[in-house]
Amino acid sequence: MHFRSFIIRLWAYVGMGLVAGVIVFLFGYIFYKGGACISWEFLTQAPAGAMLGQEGGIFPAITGSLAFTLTAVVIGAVPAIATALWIVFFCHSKRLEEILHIVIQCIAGVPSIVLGLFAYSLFVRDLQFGRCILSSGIALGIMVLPFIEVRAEKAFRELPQQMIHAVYALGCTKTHAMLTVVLPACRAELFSGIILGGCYAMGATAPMIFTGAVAYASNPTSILKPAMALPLHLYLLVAQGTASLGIAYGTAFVMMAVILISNMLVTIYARRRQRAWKQ
Amino acid sequence: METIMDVRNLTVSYEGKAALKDVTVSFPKNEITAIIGPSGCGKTTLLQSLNGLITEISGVRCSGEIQLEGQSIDGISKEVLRKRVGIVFQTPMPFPFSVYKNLTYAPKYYGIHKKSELDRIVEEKLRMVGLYEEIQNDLHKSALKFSGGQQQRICIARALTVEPEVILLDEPCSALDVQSTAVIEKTLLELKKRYSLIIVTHNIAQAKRLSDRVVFLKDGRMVETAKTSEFFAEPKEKESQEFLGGMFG
Repeated sequence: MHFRSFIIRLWAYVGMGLVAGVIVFLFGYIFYKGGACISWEFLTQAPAGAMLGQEGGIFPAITGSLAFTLTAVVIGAVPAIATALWIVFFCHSKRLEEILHIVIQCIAGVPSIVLGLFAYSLFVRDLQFGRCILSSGIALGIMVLPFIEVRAEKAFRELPQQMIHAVYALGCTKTHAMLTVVLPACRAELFSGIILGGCYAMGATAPMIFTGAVAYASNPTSILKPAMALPLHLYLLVAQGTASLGIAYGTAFVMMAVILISNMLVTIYARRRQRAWKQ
Repeated sequence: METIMDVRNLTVSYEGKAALKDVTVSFPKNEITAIIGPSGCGKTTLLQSLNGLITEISGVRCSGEIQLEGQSIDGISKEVLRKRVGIVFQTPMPFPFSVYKNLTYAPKYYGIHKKSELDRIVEEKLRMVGLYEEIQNDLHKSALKFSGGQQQRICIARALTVEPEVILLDEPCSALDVQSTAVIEKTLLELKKRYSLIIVTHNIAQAKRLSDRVVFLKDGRMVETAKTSEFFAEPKEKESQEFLGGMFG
């Protein structure tokens, strides 16, 4: 019995050590390798050079990535939160709820390149949106929809049923309860789901390749125009060979820093809100 | 006896399993009626049927009739019914906002936006539950930061802001200590001058102290209803005698 518990403990500690080690190494390696090329010019200038990106910076890729991400979370979060609300508060059929869960799981399981292909054929070609931020935003929005829906549904389910009933008990309608109690009470969880979904979208390359991300563009001015994106820029830099590798690490550094900072801000915000209300 | 609510042949089932069977009972006006009985006898189901909250639970089927001041509740919209018949739950359930926002939530919904009027409502209702003096300087503090007893009184005050005729209370003191329970009981005795109260309680002593009338349920059936003094002095039914004698419950 003692031996068994020792083995389980050992397994847990070794597992934890390995995961922590890999994460620290990954971040450390990229920050070490990429940190060298981080400068004010790198962050604020457009890429230049005979082989694009070897000189100048990545500013249009940063703003482009933010534009893709923002479009994706708006397109993904609105139906995701509405679906979660409907499933938790309006759906009276267990069967329908199960069917919806299967559909959401299926969307989550679709490979991102297939989403890209779908958005390319429907939006870029058939509907003639062209390659633009909107086409990519829709593909990325579909990709993050299940991610946000699952988190929103969990937040709504964790809200005490009696709190919703307390709103009904005052004679208020369900819609009023949703808008004034449910959504504000779950604001921190929803916000964190949306930001994490945004980070997920920001890192995805496949849905953007055919639909809106390009090798070079100026800062985005319209969602109906294509833009640069950090992951595609990174991919192209690596594809150019060893000469551009340092700048590729710099690009990865910026991407990971944006994602890390977003995650940290969300965690701090969620904790502070929780403490403010629940002590 | 002037009644405020009358229940006729009410049967309620959860996914085919009967929770209330053919219950017929009346609730008097401006009195406190206690619904008592062993665990799982249908007390909360009866209470939640009275303001239609039961219909929010999936898989519930109801038959029979409930009247509010002589009018069938089927003919009253859910929202109006719940405004007229308020409910306070077992666990204090303030909204995660300030006390002030909790108490102005319903008045604002019903179109009152004038600050002076909202202030008046907040003060009046908090005074009615004996809380105003205690928390008047903390009205903009989160309602979740107060003690359990204070939170429950905030919830009672919030229920009062819609000027209900009946207040339903589902074991309002079960999560509270003795001192908070005493304060709530005092509050309820004050409130019965203006409202009709129906309270579900597990605590026989509380039913005896507080109520004017008792409804005793067992296995989803209404076994006996009588004036509190008569019920405790001389219960008519054998099951009531056994319950009071501590043979079950």
